[in-house]
Amino acid sequence: MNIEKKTEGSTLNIAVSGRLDTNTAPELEKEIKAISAEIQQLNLDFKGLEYISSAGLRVLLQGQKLMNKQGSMVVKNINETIREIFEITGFADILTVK
Amino acid sequence: MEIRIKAEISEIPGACDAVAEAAAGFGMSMKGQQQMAVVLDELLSNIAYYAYPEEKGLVTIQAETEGEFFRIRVRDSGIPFNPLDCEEPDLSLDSEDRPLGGLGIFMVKKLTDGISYVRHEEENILTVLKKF
Repeated sequence: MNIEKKTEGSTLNIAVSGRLDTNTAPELEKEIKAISAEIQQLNLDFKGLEYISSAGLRVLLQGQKLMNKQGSMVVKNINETIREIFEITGFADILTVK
Repeated sequence: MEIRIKAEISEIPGACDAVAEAAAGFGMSMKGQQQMAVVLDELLSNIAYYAYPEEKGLVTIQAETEGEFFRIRVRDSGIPFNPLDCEEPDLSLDSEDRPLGGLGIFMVKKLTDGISYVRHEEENILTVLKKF
């Protein structure tokens, strides 16, 4: 997995590529936990992400819970495999997917 | 295809690759291959976290075809654990009320077309089937 971060004012863009699974989810969790209180918009770009397991969903939920308090979170550019996983787990309803 | 790995998190990606490659070899779609990798990640992470409370043991992973299905069989000799006994998650909760865990086995069930568990000769044997 590869993570690229870019902050523009109060917006944080994180691009994640590869796989978000049991092995790699802790790396993204670290980034989510390090988000400062000034960030009001978190954009997660999954353009290069192949798939996501429940360990990855757990981190997305952590991110959503954090951003519920201080702004909003958007997930962008998901592939068909990830879209289906969001649908069967109900994440399609609790995340903002664009 | 059969491989044997140590029940450790760091060993999981290689096993997922091997199973996805086997699925590709049998003609499974890219989405199907990715789903099988997710399924295996869920099954193996459960084993890595819970099956061997003391010294980490081994896990054997087989990937074959069975009629119209792709079949993955995972065997460990850890403590008896039937993942099919797990409670179903409540998908109606909003993000604030959702617990962080409890989705793994539910996802395995949803992403496959058949799942079975037996405890046989001191082994947990979990089999999943996925239609091509």
